[in-house]
Amino acid sequence: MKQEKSGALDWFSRRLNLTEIFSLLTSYGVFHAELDSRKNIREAIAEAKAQPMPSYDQWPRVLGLLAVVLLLIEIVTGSLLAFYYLPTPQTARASVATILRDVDFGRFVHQIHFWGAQLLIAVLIVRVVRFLIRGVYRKPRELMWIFGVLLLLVCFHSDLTGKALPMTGTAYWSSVRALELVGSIPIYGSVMLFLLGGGETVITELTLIRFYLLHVALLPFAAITLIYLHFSGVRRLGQTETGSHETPTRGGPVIRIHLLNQAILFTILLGILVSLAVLVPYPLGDAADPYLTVPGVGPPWYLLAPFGFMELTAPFLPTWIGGTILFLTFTAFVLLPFLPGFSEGARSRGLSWVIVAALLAVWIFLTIYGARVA
Amino acid sequence: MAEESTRDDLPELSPGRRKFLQWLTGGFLSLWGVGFLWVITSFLKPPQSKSSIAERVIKVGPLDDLPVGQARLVRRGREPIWVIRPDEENLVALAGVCTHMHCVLDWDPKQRSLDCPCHEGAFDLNGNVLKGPPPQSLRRYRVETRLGEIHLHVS
Repeated sequence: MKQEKSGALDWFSRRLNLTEIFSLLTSYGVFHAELDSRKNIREAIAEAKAQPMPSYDQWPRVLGLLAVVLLLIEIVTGSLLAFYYLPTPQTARASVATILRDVDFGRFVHQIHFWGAQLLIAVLIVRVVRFLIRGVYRKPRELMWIFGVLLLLVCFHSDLTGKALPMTGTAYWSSVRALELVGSIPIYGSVMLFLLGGGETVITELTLIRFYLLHVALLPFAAITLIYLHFSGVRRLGQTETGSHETPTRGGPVIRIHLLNQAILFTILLGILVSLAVLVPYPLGDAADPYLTVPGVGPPWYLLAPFGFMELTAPFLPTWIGGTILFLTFTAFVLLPFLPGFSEGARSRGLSWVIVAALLAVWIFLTIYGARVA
Repeated sequence: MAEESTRDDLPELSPGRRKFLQWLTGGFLSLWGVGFLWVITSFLKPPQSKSSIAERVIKVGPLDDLPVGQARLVRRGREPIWVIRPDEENLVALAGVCTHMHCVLDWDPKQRSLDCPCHEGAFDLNGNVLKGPPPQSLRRYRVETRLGEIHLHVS
Protein backbone atom coordinates (compact mmCIF):
# COMPACT_ATOMS: atom_id res chain seq x y z
CA MET A 1 0.00 0.00 0.00
CA LYS A 2 2.62 2.48 1.15
CA GLN A 3 5.04 1.27 -1.53
CA GLU A 4 2.52 1.79 -4.31
CA LYS A 5 1.68 5.30 -3.16
CA SER A 6 5.31 6.37 -3.18
CA GLY A 7 5.64 4.83 -6.64
CA ALA A 8 2.94 7.11 -7.98
CA LEU A 9 4.59 10.07 -6.27
CA ASP A 10 7.89 9.23 -7.94
CA TRP A 11 6.15 8.80 -11.30
CA PHE A 12 4.76 12.33 -11.08
CA SER A 13 7.95 13.66 -9.54
CA ARG A 14 9.92 12.68 -12.64
CA ARG A 15 7.47 14.62 -14.82
CA LEU A 16 6.48 17.65 -12.74
CA ASN A 17 8.28 19.86 -10.28
CA LEU A 18 6.15 18.65 -7.39
CA THR A 19 8.26 20.51 -4.85
CA GLU A 20 7.45 23.83 -6.48
CA ILE A 21 3.73 23.04 -6.60
CA PHE A 22 3.85 21.91 -2.98
CA SER A 23 5.74 25.05 -2.04
CA LEU A 24 3.12 27.22 -3.76
CA LEU A 25 0.23 25.50 -1.98
CA THR A 26 1.85 25.45 1.44
CA SER A 27 2.65 29.14 1.09
CA TYR A 28 -0.88 29.77 2.32
CA GLY A 29 0.02 29.30 5.93
CA VAL A 30 1.21 25.70 6.30
CA PHE A 31 4.99 26.09 6.29
CA HIS A 32 6.57 29.44 6.71
CA ALA A 33 10.06 28.31 5.79
CA GLU A 34 11.32 28.57 2.24
CA LEU A 35 11.39 25.20 0.48
CA ASP A 36 14.20 24.35 -1.92
CA SER A 37 12.36 23.57 -5.16
CA ARG A 38 15.45 21.91 -6.69
CA LYS A 39 15.20 19.10 -4.17
CA ASN A 40 13.07 16.00 -4.51
CA ILE A 41 9.66 16.46 -2.95
CA ARG A 42 10.20 13.81 -0.30
CA GLU A 43 13.48 15.38 0.73
CA ALA A 44 11.96 18.86 0.80
CA ILE A 45 9.04 17.76 2.97
CA ALA A 46 11.30 15.84 5.35
CA GLU A 47 13.50 18.89 5.66
CA ALA A 48 10.55 21.18 6.31
CA LYS A 49 9.13 18.78 8.88
CA ALA A 50 12.42 18.59 10.72
CA GLN A 51 12.65 22.35 11.12
CA PRO A 52 11.46 23.76 14.38
CA MET A 53 8.62 26.11 13.62
CA PRO A 54 6.73 28.41 15.89
CA SER A 55 3.12 27.86 15.02
CA TYR A 56 1.06 30.43 13.14
CA ASP A 57 -1.77 29.37 15.36
CA GLN A 58 -0.85 31.62 18.16
CA TRP A 59 -2.54 34.84 18.96
CA PRO A 60 -2.25 37.29 17.23
CA ARG A 61 -0.50 35.70 14.25
CA VAL A 62 -3.56 33.55 13.78
CA LEU A 63 -5.20 36.43 11.91
CA GLY A 64 -3.49 35.82 8.57
CA LEU A 65 -4.37 32.14 8.68
CA LEU A 66 -7.97 32.95 9.64
CA ALA A 67 -8.16 35.22 6.60
CA VAL A 68 -6.95 32.37 4.37
CA VAL A 69 -9.49 29.93 5.80
CA LEU A 70 -12.34 32.44 5.50
CA LEU A 71 -11.36 33.29 1.94
CA LEU A 72 -11.39 29.56 1.14
CA ILE A 73 -14.89 29.22 2.64
CA GLU A 74 -16.02 32.24 0.58
CA ILE A 75 -14.63 30.72 -2.61
CA VAL A 76 -16.33 27.36 -2.02
CA THR A 77 -19.74 28.77 -1.02
CA GLY A 78 -19.53 31.45 -3.71
CA SER A 79 -18.88 28.86 -6.42
CA LEU A 80 -21.89 26.92 -5.18
CA LEU A 81 -24.12 30.01 -5.31
CA ALA A 82 -22.89 30.79 -8.84
CA PHE A 83 -24.49 27.53 -10.03
CA TYR A 84 -27.93 29.12 -9.62
CA TYR A 85 -27.44 32.89 -9.70
CA LEU A 86 -28.51 34.73 -12.90
CA PRO A 87 -26.87 38.18 -13.19
CA THR A 88 -29.50 40.35 -14.85
CA PRO A 89 -31.68 42.93 -13.06
CA GLN A 90 -34.84 41.03 -14.01
CA THR A 91 -33.75 37.57 -12.87
CA ALA A 92 -31.26 38.23 -10.07
CA ARG A 93 -33.62 38.41 -7.13
CA ALA A 94 -35.76 35.51 -8.33
CA SER A 95 -32.70 33.29 -8.71
CA VAL A 96 -31.50 34.17 -5.20
CA ALA A 97 -35.02 33.45 -3.90
CA THR A 98 -34.86 30.05 -5.61
CA ILE A 99 -31.57 29.33 -3.86
CA LEU A 100 -33.04 30.30 -0.48
CA ARG A 101 -36.37 28.53 -0.88
CA ASP A 102 -35.98 25.51 -3.16
CA VAL A 103 -32.37 24.37 -3.20
CA ASP A 104 -31.29 21.94 -0.48
CA PHE A 105 -28.97 23.74 1.97
CA GLY A 106 -29.45 26.84 -0.18
CA ARG A 107 -30.26 29.13 2.73
CA PHE A 108 -27.36 27.64 4.71
CA VAL A 109 -24.79 28.17 1.94
CA HIS A 110 -26.08 31.69 1.29
CA GLN A 111 -25.87 32.67 4.97
CA ILE A 112 -22.40 31.15 5.39
CA HIS A 113 -21.28 33.18 2.38
CA PHE A 114 -22.69 36.38 3.89
CA TRP A 115 -21.35 35.87 7.40
CA GLY A 116 -18.00 34.59 6.15
CA ALA A 117 -17.55 37.90 4.32
CA GLN A 118 -18.41 39.96 7.43
CA LEU A 119 -15.99 37.91 9.56
CA LEU A 120 -13.29 38.20 6.90
CA ILE A 121 -13.54 41.98 6.89
CA ALA A 122 -13.55 42.11 10.70
CA VAL A 123 -10.46 39.87 10.84
CA LEU A 124 -8.64 42.01 8.28
CA ILE A 125 -9.45 45.21 10.17
CA VAL A 126 -8.10 43.72 13.42
CA ARG A 127 -5.05 42.57 11.44
CA VAL A 128 -4.32 46.08 10.16
CA VAL A 129 -4.67 47.45 13.71
CA ARG A 130 -2.22 44.81 14.90
CA PHE A 131 0.21 45.81 12.13
CA LEU A 132 -0.01 49.38 13.42
CA ILE A 133 0.65 48.38 17.01
CA ARG A 134 3.46 45.90 16.29
CA GLY A 135 5.10 48.12 13.68
CA VAL A 136 4.64 45.72 10.77
CA TYR A 137 5.40 48.56 8.37
CA ARG A 138 8.95 49.32 9.43
CA LYS A 139 11.90 48.35 7.28
CA PRO A 140 12.02 45.64 5.89
CA ARG A 141 8.28 44.99 6.22
CA GLU A 142 6.95 47.96 4.20
CA LEU A 143 5.35 45.68 1.61
CA MET A 144 3.60 43.58 4.25
CA TRP A 145 1.75 46.66 5.38
CA ILE A 146 0.80 47.68 1.85
CA PHE A 147 -0.39 44.15 0.98
CA GLY A 148 -2.39 44.01 4.21
CA VAL A 149 -4.17 47.33 3.60
CA LEU A 150 -4.77 46.53 -0.08
CA LEU A 151 -6.23 43.14 0.88
CA LEU A 152 -8.64 44.93 3.20
CA LEU A 153 -9.55 47.30 0.37
CA VAL A 154 -10.12 44.37 -2.02
CA CYS A 155 -12.41 42.72 0.52
CA PHE A 156 -14.39 45.95 0.99
CA HIS A 157 -14.97 46.03 -2.74
CA SER A 158 -15.86 42.33 -2.82
CA ASP A 159 -18.47 42.84 -0.13
CA LEU A 160 -19.87 45.97 -1.81
CA THR A 161 -20.18 44.30 -5.21
CA GLY A 162 -21.59 41.15 -3.60
CA LYS A 163 -24.26 43.04 -1.66
CA ALA A 164 -25.58 44.52 -4.92
CA LEU A 165 -25.99 41.15 -6.66
CA PRO A 166 -29.41 40.04 -5.24
CA MET A 167 -30.99 43.26 -6.63
CA THR A 168 -33.31 43.70 -3.68
CA GLY A 169 -34.50 47.17 -2.76
CA THR A 170 -31.91 47.44 0.01
CA ALA A 171 -29.14 46.11 -2.24
CA TYR A 172 -30.08 48.46 -5.06
CA TRP A 173 -30.33 51.62 -2.99
CA SER A 174 -27.28 50.95 -0.83
CA SER A 175 -25.27 50.36 -4.02
CA VAL A 176 -26.56 53.65 -5.42
CA ARG A 177 -25.52 55.34 -2.16
CA ALA A 178 -22.11 53.66 -2.24
CA LEU A 179 -21.57 54.68 -5.87
CA GLU A 180 -22.42 58.26 -4.97
CA LEU A 181 -19.99 58.16 -2.02
CA VAL A 182 -17.29 56.72 -4.29
CA GLY A 183 -18.15 59.28 -6.96
CA SER A 184 -17.53 62.17 -4.56
CA ILE A 185 -13.85 61.21 -4.30
CA PRO A 186 -11.82 62.94 -7.03
CA ILE A 187 -9.80 60.84 -9.53
CA TYR A 188 -10.35 57.49 -7.78
CA GLY A 189 -14.09 58.06 -7.85
CA SER A 190 -14.32 58.90 -11.51
CA VAL A 191 -12.04 55.96 -12.41
CA MET A 192 -14.18 53.57 -10.35
CA LEU A 193 -17.47 54.89 -11.74
CA PHE A 194 -16.10 54.56 -15.26
CA LEU A 195 -15.03 50.98 -14.61
CA LEU A 196 -18.31 50.13 -12.92
CA GLY A 197 -20.56 51.19 -15.75
CA GLY A 198 -19.54 54.19 -17.76
CA GLY A 199 -20.04 56.84 -15.09
CA GLU A 200 -23.57 55.90 -14.14
CA THR A 201 -24.68 55.92 -10.54
CA VAL A 202 -27.73 53.76 -11.21
CA ILE A 203 -27.67 49.97 -11.40
CA THR A 204 -28.45 48.74 -14.92
CA GLU A 205 -27.74 45.48 -16.76
CA LEU A 206 -24.35 46.87 -17.66
CA THR A 207 -23.48 47.80 -14.10
CA LEU A 208 -24.77 44.55 -12.62
CA ILE A 209 -22.68 42.34 -14.92
CA ARG A 210 -19.59 44.41 -14.07
CA PHE A 211 -20.30 44.06 -10.37
CA TYR A 212 -20.72 40.34 -10.95
CA LEU A 213 -17.48 39.92 -12.88
CA LEU A 214 -15.56 41.91 -10.26
CA HIS A 215 -17.14 39.89 -7.48
CA VAL A 216 -16.60 36.39 -8.87
CA ALA A 217 -13.38 36.74 -10.83
CA LEU A 218 -11.19 39.82 -10.55
CA LEU A 219 -11.42 40.63 -6.84
CA PRO A 220 -11.00 37.02 -5.61
CA PHE A 221 -7.97 36.69 -7.88
CA ALA A 222 -6.54 39.90 -6.43
CA ALA A 223 -7.17 38.66 -2.87
CA ILE A 224 -5.49 35.29 -3.53
CA THR A 225 -2.52 37.06 -5.08
CA LEU A 226 -2.14 39.52 -2.20
CA ILE A 227 -2.30 36.74 0.39
CA TYR A 228 0.32 34.76 -1.53
CA LEU A 229 2.58 37.80 -1.74
CA HIS A 230 2.16 38.39 1.98
CA PHE A 231 3.05 34.84 2.95
CA SER A 232 6.00 34.70 0.58
CA GLY A 233 7.20 37.84 2.34
CA VAL A 234 6.87 35.99 5.65
CA ARG A 235 8.96 33.15 4.18
CA ARG A 236 11.70 35.56 3.22
CA LEU A 237 11.73 37.72 6.36
CA GLY A 238 10.54 35.36 9.08
CA GLN A 239 7.69 36.01 11.44
CA THR A 240 7.39 39.01 13.62
CA GLU A 241 8.19 38.39 17.25
CA THR A 242 5.22 38.09 19.51
CA GLY A 243 7.07 39.67 22.40
CA SER A 244 7.98 36.75 24.61
CA HIS A 245 10.77 34.57 23.28
CA GLU A 246 8.70 31.47 22.84
CA THR A 247 9.97 27.96 22.56
CA PRO A 248 8.87 26.83 19.16
CA THR A 249 7.63 23.40 20.13
CA ARG A 250 6.28 21.44 22.99
CA GLY A 251 8.15 18.45 21.60
CA GLY A 252 7.25 16.05 18.88
CA PRO A 253 7.20 16.65 15.16
CA VAL A 254 6.26 20.30 15.06
CA ILE A 255 4.36 20.25 11.84
CA ARG A 256 1.94 17.74 13.34
CA ILE A 257 1.08 20.07 16.23
CA HIS A 258 0.78 22.91 13.76
CA LEU A 259 -1.67 20.96 11.58
CA LEU A 260 -3.64 19.85 14.62
CA ASN A 261 -3.94 23.49 15.71
CA GLN A 262 -5.17 24.38 12.25
CA ALA A 263 -7.83 21.68 12.45
CA ILE A 264 -8.98 23.00 15.85
CA LEU A 265 -9.03 26.56 14.51
CA PHE A 266 -11.05 25.50 11.48
CA THR A 267 -13.57 23.66 13.65
CA ILE A 268 -14.07 26.64 15.96
CA LEU A 269 -14.41 28.99 13.02
CA LEU A 270 -16.97 26.79 11.32
CA GLY A 271 -18.89 26.57 14.59
CA ILE A 272 -19.04 30.37 14.84
CA LEU A 273 -20.06 30.71 11.19
CA VAL A 274 -22.80 28.09 11.40
CA SER A 275 -24.17 29.64 14.61
CA LEU A 276 -24.32 33.09 13.01
CA ALA A 277 -25.83 31.72 9.80
CA VAL A 278 -28.56 29.89 11.67
CA LEU A 279 -29.28 32.33 14.50
CA VAL A 280 -28.85 35.73 12.78
CA PRO A 281 -29.91 35.18 9.15
CA TYR A 282 -29.43 38.07 6.74
CA PRO A 283 -32.86 38.67 5.20
CA LEU A 284 -33.58 38.85 1.49
CA GLY A 285 -35.65 41.97 0.90
CA ASP A 286 -38.23 42.71 -1.75
CA ALA A 287 -37.27 43.24 -5.36
CA ALA A 288 -35.69 46.56 -6.24
CA ASP A 289 -37.88 49.28 -7.70
CA PRO A 290 -35.82 52.10 -9.24
CA TYR A 291 -38.82 54.43 -8.65
CA LEU A 292 -39.17 53.67 -4.95
CA THR A 293 -36.35 54.54 -2.58
CA VAL A 294 -36.28 52.19 0.40
CA PRO A 295 -36.10 54.20 3.65
CA GLY A 296 -33.29 53.69 6.14
CA VAL A 297 -30.72 52.37 3.69
CA GLY A 298 -27.18 53.25 4.71
CA PRO A 299 -23.72 52.18 3.68
CA PRO A 300 -22.31 48.91 5.12
CA TRP A 301 -20.89 49.03 8.66
CA TYR A 302 -17.25 49.29 7.63
CA LEU A 303 -17.95 52.35 5.45
CA LEU A 304 -19.93 54.21 8.12
CA ALA A 305 -16.82 56.15 9.18
CA PRO A 306 -16.08 57.81 5.78
CA PHE A 307 -19.83 58.28 5.31
CA GLY A 308 -20.06 59.94 8.74
CA PHE A 309 -17.11 62.17 7.86
CA MET A 310 -18.80 63.30 4.64
CA GLU A 311 -22.05 64.00 6.49
CA LEU A 312 -20.25 65.82 9.30
CA THR A 313 -18.36 68.13 6.93
CA ALA A 314 -21.19 68.59 4.44
CA PRO A 315 -22.58 71.81 6.01
CA PHE A 316 -19.35 73.78 5.69
CA LEU A 317 -17.21 71.99 3.06
CA PRO A 318 -18.01 71.31 -0.60
CA THR A 319 -18.30 67.59 -1.36
CA TRP A 320 -15.19 67.43 -3.50
CA ILE A 321 -13.01 68.86 -0.72
CA GLY A 322 -14.34 66.29 1.75
CA GLY A 323 -13.72 63.59 -0.88
CA THR A 324 -10.18 64.84 -1.44
CA ILE A 325 -9.47 64.77 2.30
CA LEU A 326 -10.73 61.17 2.46
CA PHE A 327 -8.68 60.19 -0.56
CA LEU A 328 -5.47 61.77 0.76
CA THR A 329 -5.99 60.23 4.22
CA PHE A 330 -6.41 56.80 2.71
CA THR A 331 -3.44 57.19 0.36
CA ALA A 332 -1.28 58.27 3.29
CA PHE A 333 -2.53 55.23 5.21
CA VAL A 334 -1.56 52.85 2.40
CA LEU A 335 1.83 54.49 1.94
CA LEU A 336 2.49 54.79 5.69
CA PRO A 337 5.90 53.04 5.52
CA PHE A 338 7.16 55.64 3.06
CA LEU A 339 6.10 58.67 5.06
CA PRO A 340 9.15 60.40 6.55
CA GLY A 341 10.21 58.91 9.85
CA PHE A 342 7.90 55.92 9.85
CA SER A 343 10.09 53.27 8.29
CA GLU A 344 13.00 53.56 10.73
CA GLY A 345 12.98 52.56 14.35
CA ALA A 346 12.99 49.42 16.44
CA ARG A 347 11.41 46.36 14.91
CA SER A 348 8.25 45.08 16.57
CA ARG A 349 7.55 48.50 17.98
CA GLY A 350 4.76 50.35 16.29
CA LEU A 351 2.94 53.57 16.88
CA SER A 352 2.48 54.39 20.50
CA TRP A 353 -0.67 53.18 22.18
CA VAL A 354 -1.90 56.75 22.53
CA ILE A 355 -1.83 57.42 18.80
CA VAL A 356 -3.43 54.07 17.91
CA ALA A 357 -6.11 54.63 20.54
CA ALA A 358 -6.73 58.15 19.20
CA LEU A 359 -7.04 56.87 15.62
CA LEU A 360 -9.43 54.12 16.73
CA ALA A 361 -11.45 56.65 18.77
CA VAL A 362 -11.86 58.92 15.71
CA TRP A 363 -12.86 55.94 13.59
CA ILE A 364 -15.39 54.69 16.13
CA PHE A 365 -16.81 58.19 16.64
CA LEU A 366 -17.28 58.66 12.89
CA THR A 367 -18.82 55.19 12.62
CA ILE A 368 -21.35 55.94 15.36
CA TYR A 369 -22.08 59.34 13.84
CA GLY A 370 -22.47 57.75 10.39
CA ALA A 371 -24.79 55.09 11.80
CA ARG A 372 -26.97 57.77 13.44
CA VAL A 373 -27.37 59.91 10.33
CA ALA A 374 -27.68 56.95 7.92
CA MET B 1 8.49 7.94 9.28
CA ALA B 2 10.16 5.67 11.83
CA GLU B 3 12.90 8.09 12.78
CA GLU B 4 10.32 10.84 12.97
CA SER B 5 8.56 9.00 15.79
CA THR B 6 11.73 8.60 17.83
CA ARG B 7 12.15 12.38 17.93
CA ASP B 8 8.81 12.44 19.60
CA ASP B 9 9.10 13.30 23.24
CA LEU B 10 5.39 13.11 23.79
CA PRO B 11 4.50 10.52 26.44
CA GLU B 12 5.17 7.06 25.11
CA LEU B 13 2.06 5.37 23.77
CA SER B 14 1.64 1.66 23.29
CA PRO B 15 1.42 0.74 19.58
CA GLY B 16 -2.15 -0.47 19.94
CA ARG B 17 -3.26 2.73 21.55
CA ARG B 18 -1.43 4.87 19.01
CA LYS B 19 -3.03 2.95 16.17
CA PHE B 20 -6.47 3.34 17.73
CA LEU B 21 -6.00 7.10 18.12
CA GLN B 22 -4.80 7.41 14.52
CA TRP B 23 -7.84 5.44 13.39
CA LEU B 24 -10.07 7.69 15.46
CA THR B 25 -8.55 10.86 13.96
CA GLY B 26 -8.88 9.47 10.45
CA GLY B 27 -12.48 8.48 11.07
CA PHE B 28 -13.31 11.90 12.46
CA LEU B 29 -11.75 13.66 9.48
CA SER B 30 -13.57 11.36 7.04
CA LEU B 31 -16.86 12.24 8.73
CA TRP B 32 -16.08 15.89 8.00
CA GLY B 33 -15.40 14.99 4.38
CA VAL B 34 -18.63 13.01 4.06
CA GLY B 35 -20.56 15.90 5.59
CA PHE B 36 -19.12 18.45 3.17
CA LEU B 37 -19.73 16.17 0.19
CA TRP B 38 -23.32 15.63 1.32
CA VAL B 39 -24.02 19.36 1.63
CA ILE B 40 -22.38 20.13 -1.72
CA THR B 41 -24.09 17.34 -3.69
CA SER B 42 -27.53 18.11 -2.28
CA PHE B 43 -26.98 21.78 -3.07
CA LEU B 44 -26.03 20.99 -6.66
CA LYS B 45 -29.10 18.79 -7.23
CA PRO B 46 -31.52 21.07 -9.12
CA PRO B 47 -34.70 21.71 -7.13
CA GLN B 48 -37.80 19.82 -8.29
CA SER B 49 -40.35 22.39 -9.30
CA LYS B 50 -43.75 21.13 -8.26
CA SER B 51 -46.02 22.08 -11.14
CA SER B 52 -49.46 23.46 -10.33
CA ILE B 53 -52.67 22.28 -12.00
CA ALA B 54 -52.45 25.23 -14.36
CA GLU B 55 -49.06 24.01 -15.51
CA ARG B 56 -50.25 20.41 -15.94
CA VAL B 57 -53.00 21.38 -18.40
CA ILE B 58 -52.04 23.22 -21.58
CA LYS B 59 -54.61 25.09 -23.63
CA VAL B 60 -53.75 24.34 -27.24
CA GLY B 61 -56.36 26.59 -28.86
CA PRO B 62 -59.87 26.34 -30.35
CA LEU B 63 -60.80 23.00 -31.91
CA ASP B 64 -62.08 24.79 -34.99
CA ASP B 65 -58.58 26.07 -35.76
CA LEU B 66 -57.31 22.51 -36.21
CA PRO B 67 -58.75 21.02 -39.44
CA VAL B 68 -59.34 17.28 -39.74
CA GLY B 69 -56.20 15.46 -40.81
CA GLN B 70 -53.93 18.22 -39.50
CA ALA B 71 -51.68 18.30 -36.46
CA ARG B 72 -50.15 20.94 -34.28
CA LEU B 73 -46.84 20.90 -32.43
CA VAL B 74 -47.21 22.05 -28.84
CA ARG B 75 -44.05 23.28 -27.10
CA ARG B 76 -43.90 22.58 -23.42
CA GLY B 77 -40.56 23.81 -22.14
CA ARG B 78 -38.03 21.83 -24.12
CA GLU B 79 -40.55 19.04 -24.75
CA PRO B 80 -42.49 18.95 -28.07
CA ILE B 81 -45.90 17.24 -28.15
CA TRP B 82 -47.96 16.57 -31.30
CA VAL B 83 -51.72 17.12 -31.08
CA ILE B 84 -53.35 15.38 -34.06
CA ARG B 85 -56.96 15.49 -35.28
CA PRO B 86 -57.35 12.26 -37.31
CA ASP B 87 -61.15 12.66 -37.80
CA GLU B 88 -64.10 14.82 -36.80
CA GLU B 89 -64.57 13.13 -33.41
CA ASN B 90 -61.17 12.31 -32.02
CA LEU B 91 -57.97 13.95 -30.92
CA VAL B 92 -54.65 12.23 -30.32
CA ALA B 93 -51.64 13.61 -28.44
CA LEU B 94 -48.27 11.95 -28.82
CA ALA B 95 -44.78 12.76 -27.68
CA GLY B 96 -42.96 14.56 -30.48
CA VAL B 97 -39.54 13.04 -29.92
CA CYS B 98 -38.33 9.88 -31.64
CA THR B 99 -37.47 7.11 -29.17
CA HIS B 100 -34.39 6.23 -31.21
CA MET B 101 -32.05 9.26 -31.25
CA HIS B 102 -34.36 11.98 -29.90
CA CYS B 103 -34.93 13.80 -33.18
CA VAL B 104 -38.16 15.82 -33.37
CA LEU B 105 -40.82 14.05 -35.47
CA ASP B 106 -42.71 15.53 -38.44
CA TRP B 107 -46.44 15.01 -39.15
CA ASP B 108 -47.08 13.49 -42.55
CA PRO B 109 -50.75 14.25 -43.44
CA LYS B 110 -50.75 11.91 -46.48
CA GLN B 111 -49.47 8.81 -44.71
CA ARG B 112 -51.10 9.91 -41.45
CA SER B 113 -47.93 9.04 -39.60
CA LEU B 114 -45.23 10.75 -37.56
CA ASP B 115 -41.93 10.49 -39.43
CA CYS B 116 -38.46 10.85 -38.07
CA PRO B 117 -36.22 13.01 -40.28
CA CYS B 118 -33.03 11.41 -38.94
CA HIS B 119 -33.25 7.65 -39.60
CA GLU B 120 -36.51 7.13 -41.48
CA GLY B 121 -38.43 5.83 -38.51
CA ALA B 122 -42.21 6.24 -38.50
CA PHE B 123 -45.01 5.93 -35.93
CA ASP B 124 -48.75 5.43 -36.38
CA LEU B 125 -51.54 7.30 -34.63
CA ASN B 126 -51.37 4.99 -31.63
CA GLY B 127 -47.68 5.75 -31.22
CA ASN B 128 -46.60 2.30 -32.41
CA VAL B 129 -43.50 1.89 -34.56
CA LEU B 130 -44.36 1.45 -38.25
CA LYS B 131 -40.85 1.10 -39.59
CA GLY B 132 -37.25 2.01 -38.96
CA PRO B 133 -34.95 1.78 -35.97
CA PRO B 134 -36.99 3.22 -33.03
CA PRO B 135 -36.97 0.69 -30.17
CA GLN B 136 -40.11 1.87 -28.33
CA SER B 137 -43.50 3.28 -29.12
CA LEU B 138 -44.34 6.92 -28.41
CA ARG B 139 -45.80 8.11 -25.15
CA ARG B 140 -49.48 9.11 -25.38
CA TYR B 141 -51.00 12.08 -23.56
CA ARG B 142 -54.59 12.66 -22.54
CA VAL B 143 -56.25 15.35 -24.65
CA GLU B 144 -59.85 16.58 -24.55
CA THR B 145 -62.11 19.38 -25.72
CA ARG B 146 -63.74 21.69 -23.22
CA LEU B 147 -66.09 24.41 -24.50
CA GLY B 148 -64.57 24.09 -27.94
CA GLU B 149 -61.00 24.48 -26.71
CA ILE B 150 -58.36 21.75 -26.82
CA HIS B 151 -56.87 20.92 -23.40
CA LEU B 152 -53.73 18.83 -23.25
CA HIS B 153 -52.95 17.01 -19.99
CA VAL B 154 -49.25 16.64 -19.39
CA SER B 155 -47.40 14.95 -16.47
